[in-house]
Amino acid sequence: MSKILYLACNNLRLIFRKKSNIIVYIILPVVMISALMTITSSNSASAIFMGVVDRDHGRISQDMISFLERTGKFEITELAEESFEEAVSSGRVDFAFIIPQNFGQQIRKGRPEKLKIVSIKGGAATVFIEEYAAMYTENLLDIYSLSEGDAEIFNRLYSNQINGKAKLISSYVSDNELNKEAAQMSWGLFIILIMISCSTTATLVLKEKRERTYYRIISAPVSYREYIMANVLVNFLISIVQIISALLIIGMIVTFDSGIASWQIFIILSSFSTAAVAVGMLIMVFSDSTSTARMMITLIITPSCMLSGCFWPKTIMPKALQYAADFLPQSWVMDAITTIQGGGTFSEVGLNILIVLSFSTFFFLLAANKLKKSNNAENFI
Amino acid sequence: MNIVAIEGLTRKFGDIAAVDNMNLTIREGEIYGLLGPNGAGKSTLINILSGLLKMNSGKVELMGMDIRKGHNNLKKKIGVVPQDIAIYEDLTARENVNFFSGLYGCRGTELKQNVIEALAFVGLIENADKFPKAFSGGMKRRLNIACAIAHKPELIIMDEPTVGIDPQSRNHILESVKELNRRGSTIIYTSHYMEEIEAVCDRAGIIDHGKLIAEGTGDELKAIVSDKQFIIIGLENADGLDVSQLQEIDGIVNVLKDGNIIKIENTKVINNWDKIIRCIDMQGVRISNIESRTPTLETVFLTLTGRTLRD
Repeated sequence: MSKILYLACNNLRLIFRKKSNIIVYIILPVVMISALMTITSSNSASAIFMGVVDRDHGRISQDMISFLERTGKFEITELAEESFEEAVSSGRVDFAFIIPQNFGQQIRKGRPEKLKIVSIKGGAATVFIEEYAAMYTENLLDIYSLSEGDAEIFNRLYSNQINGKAKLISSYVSDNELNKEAAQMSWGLFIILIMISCSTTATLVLKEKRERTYYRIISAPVSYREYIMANVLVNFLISIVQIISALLIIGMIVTFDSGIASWQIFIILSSFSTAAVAVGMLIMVFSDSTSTARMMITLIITPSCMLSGCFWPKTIMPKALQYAADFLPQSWVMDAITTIQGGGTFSEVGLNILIVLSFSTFFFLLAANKLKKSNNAENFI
Repeated sequence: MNIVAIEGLTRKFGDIAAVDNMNLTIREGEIYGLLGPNGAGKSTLINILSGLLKMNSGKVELMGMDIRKGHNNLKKKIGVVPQDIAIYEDLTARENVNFFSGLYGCRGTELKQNVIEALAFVGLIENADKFPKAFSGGMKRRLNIACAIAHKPELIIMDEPTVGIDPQSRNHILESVKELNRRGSTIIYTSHYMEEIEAVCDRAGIIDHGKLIAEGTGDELKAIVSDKQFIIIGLENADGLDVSQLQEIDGIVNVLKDGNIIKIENTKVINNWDKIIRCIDMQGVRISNIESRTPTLETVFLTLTGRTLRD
């Protein structure tokens, strides 16, 4: 272990001896994620464009639409039945809110059908409207309960509430949905940066082989396994420092609420770091030169991150690609972030973390097997 | 005591035997030269001794220990000066020696002392805190050596340590090799330069096609060709010369054409110079000079392998 630490210390010294690497490895990722969170959240601060498909056309549905409009959170566009899907997919509206047929009748009977929301921006973008609609529906159901199924009493109580005779006690809810979207995009970018950083660090092994310092190290009483473990340790340490730095800046300076606790995102991203380090190892063992490694970094990281929803929500992609994304660790990380932002508990993403760690183990075993087959040191003499 | 004892060592790459059933012993306190052209098997042998390559068959003992056992304990006693300069350009000379020496387990005051001694030994103490990128080729070579000797190894393996450097640095390195030997290290020294081997080595082994084809002191090796003379003929233009006609002359053992120079290995007892000159003259090639050389390791090598070291 002492040799691994000794080699790791030297690796860190070699990496950070170049002051520019402090910028590349630490400052740049942190600045990028902070800036992206700030910019995207402030840009998104305008009203949400909501399309409404009113299949009921009754008094209750119309009053509900008016209520949502009065909240000032939504720019409402009435949509025809045949055009709402196009409006959502083209991005003309952020989501479509569908009020089912006979909604008023169902309320009067105390058994309303679930309100439907169609979006391509993922659950986090629609949670806010879901909460508003649910709150409004619950109010109506409360009136139904008070009327005990009597239609006349229901109509009277309902009219009183609409005309302001009944007092509605309300409290403010904080709208963090826009922050959540910005955070998803930013954490997606951060995942890409972690992967690039880990792969680049892993390729330092190739540089050492090219410059023959590796030859000298292996001539000393150091095994190839110790040498590789030192690189893995450095790689993991750097990504942990990146995560902590980003969380500190976001929490203390940018003061951005991403809808997920710092400790939760730390655990999720740290587990992902192990996978990123393992991917870096894979790239290293399958590359015979730094240029091949660079090519592999580009070919592996960018498409896999696109597929995993780091650039945009997975839901906009065809189903087949969404299923394909299940074979990528980034996808499970993004899913964990979205779940917690959508109100899920940390225990709900335990499986995600376990899957990411399983990916790491699989990638490490694959790299180790390749190393063993290539007879480690001998290939580079 | 034998510090290196090799028996029946074979190492193959595919079907090609880079080292082929080699037997070799090196005694403690020797400077042993390894001679051979590129591809002869020197580097493979050195990599096996350094613990970087595994052998296919045979037995190698270093300092009385089987190389396959006690791997790390053996490595601690060996210093390897690789043919390529293997130093970190981003670390100072002191940091380089410090790091590599630390790999052998040296720590604290002992490490600091060793680093200073190694840098002083190679004449770089005044440049200890400079980065190698500011060094000349010779200085980098000397730093390359310092990194290998700071942990005070019993056996030092030097793989062509003087390639591509100025005569002053070369002399410094050759003197260093002798001094290291005087201080108690056994040294294996490979080189393309015969004069280096003759100058510093107690004994030398000639390797070709993975086999040790001869070994001994300089005089012992030269004695192998004591019945031969070597005629070097300079020609104005050797393009039109048919070497095969020379080879038919009685007494000539081997003819090598190297540009406008013809190297002839000739039997001493047969006087055939007139025939040689006539043969060249008859082919219309003009002779610019003729020289007879006494045997050197170069000529020994030529005799034994039929080619020069730089082939």
